Amino acid sequence: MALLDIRNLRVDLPVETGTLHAVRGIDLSVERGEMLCIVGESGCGKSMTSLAIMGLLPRRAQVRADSLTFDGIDLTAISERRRSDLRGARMAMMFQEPMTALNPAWTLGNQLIEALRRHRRVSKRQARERAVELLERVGITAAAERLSQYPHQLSGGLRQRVMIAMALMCGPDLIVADEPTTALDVTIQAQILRLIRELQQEMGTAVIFITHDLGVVARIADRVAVMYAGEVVESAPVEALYARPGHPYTRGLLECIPAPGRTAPGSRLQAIDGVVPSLVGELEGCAFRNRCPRAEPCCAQTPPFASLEAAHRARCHFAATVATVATDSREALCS
Amino acid sequence: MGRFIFRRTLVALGVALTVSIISFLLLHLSGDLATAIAGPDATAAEIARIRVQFGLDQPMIVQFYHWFTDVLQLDFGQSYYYQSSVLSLIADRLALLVAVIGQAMPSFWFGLALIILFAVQLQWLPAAGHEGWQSFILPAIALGYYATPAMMRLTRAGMLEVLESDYIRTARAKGLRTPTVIFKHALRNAIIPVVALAAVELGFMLGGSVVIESVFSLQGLGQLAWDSISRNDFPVVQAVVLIIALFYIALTLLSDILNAMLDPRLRVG
Repeated sequence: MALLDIRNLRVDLPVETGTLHAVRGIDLSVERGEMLCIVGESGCGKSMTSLAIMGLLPRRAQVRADSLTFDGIDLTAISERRRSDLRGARMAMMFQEPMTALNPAWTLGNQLIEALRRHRRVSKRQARERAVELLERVGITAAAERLSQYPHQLSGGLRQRVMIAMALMCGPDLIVADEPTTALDVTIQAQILRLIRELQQEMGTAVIFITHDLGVVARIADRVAVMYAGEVVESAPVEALYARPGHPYTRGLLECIPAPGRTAPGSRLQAIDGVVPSLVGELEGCAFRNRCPRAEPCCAQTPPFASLEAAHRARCHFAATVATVATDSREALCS
Repeated sequence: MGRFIFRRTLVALGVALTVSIISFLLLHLSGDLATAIAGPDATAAEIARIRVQFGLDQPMIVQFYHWFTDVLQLDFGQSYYYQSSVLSLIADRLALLVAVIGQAMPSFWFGLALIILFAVQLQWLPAAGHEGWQSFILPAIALGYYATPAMMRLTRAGMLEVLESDYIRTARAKGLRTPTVIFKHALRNAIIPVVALAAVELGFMLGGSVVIESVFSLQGLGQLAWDSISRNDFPVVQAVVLIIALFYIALTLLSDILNAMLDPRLRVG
């Protein structure tokens, strides 16, 4: 059984003009020890999905799902108290903004230690040892001295390393990482990605990695879910997604990325024309059809989530045809 | 932290010195003191005698030096009016001031309303004077009444803002219980402007206490200052001004230090 199983998850937010359907019925599953990347542009519902999994959505958000099951526990049925017992202990989260995600008024040690002591009966000393051990593991030097420092005394990269250590304090089964490298310099970004991948493989933790960057996905994912306008439009093992993308949106995203050897010097960068449709009110048919180069009249009908091969599905009437054109984007992106 | 407190204290001492110079100068620049003390009917000989008696014939810098070195030894001189030491006059009233200052804000109207309701109508508490702790209840409420809402609003606004911040979400993501999130992670950050406001409010209460003391007929420090001004009793006025200013400085210093303890980012020289 999958560690996390999501069926028909919907997240609605009341807005002035009606109801914003931020997540419109998505299915996801994450196996133990797997790295699932959710990729999509701003506003596609990827962050809302991650917050819904953690139970951290703002109170005004309405969450519904046919199934939202974590290791056999029905998350929709348990109390907030039971939910908070899971958070930090069995499912942890890393956030995008390392500059603001740590409390400026408390030392790093205090914030690391409380993450463990909330869930485990350990002495302060033991919790401290665990914090030092994890800080060292995430590559922070002079870890013991760092415990008495405050967040503002650290660089962004170091803070993100602290956030990683904090998420690992209780040895969770699942980590939800919401764009943890987006706010960092490119060089630091690469280090942090490598670290997350290493730790994930070493500890056998499942990771849901949220990003808008297909270059990042190519390097770390086992499996990928591409989101567009609140839906998963394509889901595939990483090799298949880059080799034979089955949705025109995925293909468009891949073509937007300049790659050495593929993009001629001085040529214009590709872009997907048009804008994402409004998510306020109901959407009929394929949400991408107003921007899609191969849209046909039949796209006004909601397309099926077509199976292309084992574990590779795309929500497009023409998925089979789209997927026949092979690309070499993964090799290009990883080089 | 120790270094921060040391540097802040140095600054506070500098301000205190400046204030003492100003409080000295203010009075000496407001006219010829000897003439004022001697009164309208005094002869030139009498004025000259007073001038010598009070050392007013000496250069300003010498007068300041004498006054300041005396002040450092807590000797504020003699009251011209009471003919007793200023120190003992103030000491008597300082305790009263501290009692009243617990809460303060200038509203003689609110004070009168309290007297009418609780002293005249209900007869629960004394209307005036100071006989026992019951006498301080109404003045303290009258003083505190206006300071409280501003602090409440500031706390509320601060909490609303802080509760939206990323680190609160981080705290919740760790599974921390709501009271821990609110009191440990949110309140500590939200309370910082409130501490600064509290210091300012307490300072205002020093001024406000003059009104409240007169409403409740308390022989307090504010009343003493007021009476001494109208009697040209300069050593008393001078000492009261200095002491109130020192209270201000101490409150500001205290709020700086408290805030630096709350927020490590404020610990800069």
